[in-house]
Amino acid sequence: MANYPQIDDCSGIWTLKEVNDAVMGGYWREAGSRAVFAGGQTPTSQDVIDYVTIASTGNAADFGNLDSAKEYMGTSHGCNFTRAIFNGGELTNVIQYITFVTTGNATDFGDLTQTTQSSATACNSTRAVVGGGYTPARTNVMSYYAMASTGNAIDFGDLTSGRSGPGGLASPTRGVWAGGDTPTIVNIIDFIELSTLGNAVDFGDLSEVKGGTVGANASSTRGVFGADRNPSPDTNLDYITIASQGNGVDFGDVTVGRGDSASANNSKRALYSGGMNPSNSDVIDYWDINTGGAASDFGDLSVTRHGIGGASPCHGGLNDGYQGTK
Amino acid sequence: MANKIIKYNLEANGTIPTYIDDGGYYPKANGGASPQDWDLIGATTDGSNETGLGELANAAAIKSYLDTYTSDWTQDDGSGGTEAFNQTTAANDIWTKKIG
Repeated sequence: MANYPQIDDCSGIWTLKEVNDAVMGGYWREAGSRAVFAGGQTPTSQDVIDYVTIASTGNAADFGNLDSAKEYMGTSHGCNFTRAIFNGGELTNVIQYITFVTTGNATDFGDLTQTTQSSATACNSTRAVVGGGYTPARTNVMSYYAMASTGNAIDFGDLTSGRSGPGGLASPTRGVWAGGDTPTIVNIIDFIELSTLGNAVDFGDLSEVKGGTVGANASSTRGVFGADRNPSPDTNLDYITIASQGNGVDFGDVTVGRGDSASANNSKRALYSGGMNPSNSDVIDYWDINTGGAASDFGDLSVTRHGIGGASPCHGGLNDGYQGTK
Repeated sequence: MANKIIKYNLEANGTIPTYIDDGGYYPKANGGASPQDWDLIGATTDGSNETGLGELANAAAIKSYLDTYTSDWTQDDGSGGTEAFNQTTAANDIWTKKIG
């Protein structure tokens, strides 16, 4: 039985029997394929949100606005099948959300346990865990919230070290943070089991140190970290197998070396948007999460900037956008 | 064996040229249409004779080129702030990618 809808796109025609089999079999896709990119610095802080359809290519379109202009949003944010939830930025504790299928403004969700920017989030369909960041001390604090409701974040445990700008990603069960600055740029990878509360555990190491807010994209099985801009602009991508605790392996390159970019993806295609090199960039890159290699140009952001938050409703922590077993 | 440090554009379909081994550095907006709207710096593959938009023959040439468009750039200062972009350091970093 084929897997419907197609894993990287929701377009197509299915018979009622195929739809019934997919829904009853638990592999009907629950999510769309929209990526959003929020906030950033031009160098003036921005409240802009723009979006693209991941399965296409082209320039980003205007979505709505954050509650206020915010820079250094961190690479990853909480997303379930319907909401993108942005955490902090601009040294605030604001949690705010948008609904993917709309193009409206962000709405207040609650508060983080501390003011922060450049944190990273790992989430599955129910829980988002926000870790690390700049407060302005480099923090190891993790906090969590349930995405279906609104409310304040609660303390979770600690990363193995306090650091700013790690990349964060997840499978449906495991959250992973990698790289960042302590302020020394590091190659550390940490992980947690999302269903528990507790401290992170050492995972392995990236193939190189990565800082300046590390890109992070993941399918339900594979995570990709990088590029980054510290200690120098870097195009290199590393991949890990999330279920392992192995080291990062060189995987490919983005078209323009940069960091403080926004990451968003579906199970097949990863996007890496904007950033700093140290000039600001409007480039959106894409590559295949399964094969790696050289990225290609996707299109341009509506505003050239860095320090952007990215989100999608079909990432690895959401079982690639499928409810139940694929 | 040898390679070159060159200026180049992405291909018209947005892909990285096959002759680039390590590139995407310090983009300069050229006013063109996406995806060829940035002039990039990179190292070619070992043995390639491609020169793209032009070869940068030494670290001094890279710095001179960076000086033409990066005077207002900033970079991390390592303590949460920013400092002026260091063209000399950037040029030397790129030059380390030269083989032979």
